[in-house]
Amino acid sequence: MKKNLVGYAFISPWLIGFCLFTAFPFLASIYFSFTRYNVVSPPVWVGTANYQVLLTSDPLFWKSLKVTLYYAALAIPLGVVAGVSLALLLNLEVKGMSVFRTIFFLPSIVPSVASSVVFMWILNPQMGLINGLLRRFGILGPAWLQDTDWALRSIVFMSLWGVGGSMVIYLAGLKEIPAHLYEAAMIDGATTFHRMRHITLPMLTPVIFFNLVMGIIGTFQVFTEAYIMTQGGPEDSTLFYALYLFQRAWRYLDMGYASAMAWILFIVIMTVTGIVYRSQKRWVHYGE
Amino acid sequence: MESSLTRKQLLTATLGAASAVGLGGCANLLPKPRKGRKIVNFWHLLSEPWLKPTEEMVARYNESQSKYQVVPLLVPDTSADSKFMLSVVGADPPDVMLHWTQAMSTWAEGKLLTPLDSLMTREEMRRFKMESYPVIAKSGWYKGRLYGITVGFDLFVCFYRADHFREVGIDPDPAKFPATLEEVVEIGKRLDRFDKQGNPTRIGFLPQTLVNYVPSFGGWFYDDKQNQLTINTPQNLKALQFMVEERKRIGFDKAIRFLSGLTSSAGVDMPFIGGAYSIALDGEWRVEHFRRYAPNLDYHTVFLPPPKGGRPAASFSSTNFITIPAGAKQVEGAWDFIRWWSGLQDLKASAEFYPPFGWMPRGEAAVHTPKYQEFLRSAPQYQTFLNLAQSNNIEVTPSTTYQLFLMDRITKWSDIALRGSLSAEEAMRQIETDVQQERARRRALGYEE
Repeated sequence: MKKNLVGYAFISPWLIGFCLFTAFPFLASIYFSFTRYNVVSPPVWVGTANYQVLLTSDPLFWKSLKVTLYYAALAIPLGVVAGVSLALLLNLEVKGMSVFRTIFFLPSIVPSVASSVVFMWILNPQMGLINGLLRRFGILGPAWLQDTDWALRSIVFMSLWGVGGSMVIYLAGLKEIPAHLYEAAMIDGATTFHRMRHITLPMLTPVIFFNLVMGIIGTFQVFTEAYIMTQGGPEDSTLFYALYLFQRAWRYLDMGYASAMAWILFIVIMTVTGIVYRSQKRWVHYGE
Repeated sequence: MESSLTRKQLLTATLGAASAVGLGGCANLLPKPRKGRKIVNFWHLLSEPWLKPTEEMVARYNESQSKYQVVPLLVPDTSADSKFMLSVVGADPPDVMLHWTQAMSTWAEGKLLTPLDSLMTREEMRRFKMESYPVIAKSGWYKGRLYGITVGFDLFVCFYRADHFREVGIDPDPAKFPATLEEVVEIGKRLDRFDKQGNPTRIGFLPQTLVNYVPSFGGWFYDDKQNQLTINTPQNLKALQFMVEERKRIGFDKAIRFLSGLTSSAGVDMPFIGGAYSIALDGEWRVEHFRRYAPNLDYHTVFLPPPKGGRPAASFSSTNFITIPAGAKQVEGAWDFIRWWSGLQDLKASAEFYPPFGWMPRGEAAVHTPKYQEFLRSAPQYQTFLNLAQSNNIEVTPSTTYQLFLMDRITKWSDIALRGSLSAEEAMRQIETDVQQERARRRALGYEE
């Protein structure tokens, strides 16, 4: 018992921090979501009014949810395809491969605020790098972040910049695939495509599944890029759910309403993640 | 033996944990007060180029008396509001804060601020109302209480490039500047320059921010006297229609691209210095900017001419408020500092604090002091702002608790109209609809208006 106490004492800073800064706010926000609360004055119970107003008469709530779902639908599959493709390329036996791996991994550790500022310049319609290159070929590039059709796609495109993080995990997954499976397939005459289709991808599905779940959780909480680059514009085309939640909480001091939004987001994320979890029986191979 | 060792381990671990937790919060970084002085913590948002004048001004206050020591702290603009609110909620606010938030009414309603009229003597209140420019006298109030005193306020006038005017054969003498907005538009057209593909390389005159133009059209979004919204009025609509028409002339997409290339808001590559505009509606701080970054820039300032039938000498004004947060520990010191800086103590003596910031003083009396006149001689374009400050046609952010939402919707829907995605009429209707929906939402949740 005393030995246990020593252990608890050693982890007490984390435990205290977790209880104070994670568990308590998490649970308190359930209560706040049923209140009118502006941070300063004591919360006032309003029952389900926040949820009712959100679901029935707040067009921006639905707009932000739609923007976030659209972003997730584009960014998650693209991230998986890009991450797996990159990992496959960086799994080749080429001289100096560790240098290439480092180069492709580096962007993922650049803080997203810094990346956002850099991309604002890269995507500037007048002075940006991309439109500058397109101009050389006589093409008038889009206005990117200033264009309602392109702003969200630009942020999706930018999300690929950080694909190095998942790429490393895919690479580790590739290294775990037993070599004898490939040897046996080659003896049986399997082509490169067949080896990829029937060995590499199936054996990589547990890793893809992990990154998919993490990707879902991450994309539903996208905030920094829109906050720095577009503030939700133009014309609300990049008004992500987390950004709208932040505006309600800190700009309009509507913490009760924002708490209700946070819980709806939590339910949406849990639902989508649950569906993906249920689907894993059909496509994730654990090599059993 | 085993039991003793366990106790020691337990003690070490607990102490270690306590130290780790304590290290983050117990570091005493507070400045030590000079002997016999009380510390007054002052938060502000005045980064460069205002940081040095702020520190010098505070140093002068500290030298001017021996009771208090004001300690300035620069708070980043982007997180200032949340830092301020959390400091009040956490019962550790600054004693005095300068900010340019539009959320004054919301904060007052939330009891985040100390009503300053409760600290003022009758004489001070009388002088405040008598001496201050009209725009200052009507700013900072919420439900009959004064929560912020304005130190520095923005007005918007036309800056125009004399060299560009000469280039197209127009006399740049301010006395000969057009008397109506329609004439300004015509001159603007003559000043436009385009490349071979028809993209603008210089725009003579491009109206940009709706709230800056509406007062000249005789409109505004809120009637403070009646406490009523006045969003979708003919005057407001006319202002937006005028702006949309100007965008249409340049081409919506071309204007967006042109504006996206003008990224600098301060420094030597400001669009007006670089020649991207010939006529621009801008604020008084630019005079100091131009003097600093382009001392030889050949330009003049004039009031924005009203459209035919419009309201002369009109402008929107955003103001810097100096406030005392609720729960401030050194209220007396904070109030003494406010009185000194705002000129409630001595308006004429306060005149010398403003030129280094490029700001206008609280009232006309300060302008006639030798120090301020010296500043005006070095920056004669500033006189236009001082003349405009005397006008009663200056509009300020409405004193309602949903004012941020209102101003955000105005910005959003006018921007959509200026992008050509919506007609001016539809944009005005949308502002009205959104704001009424928000009011209904707030009422449903029991919020005060």
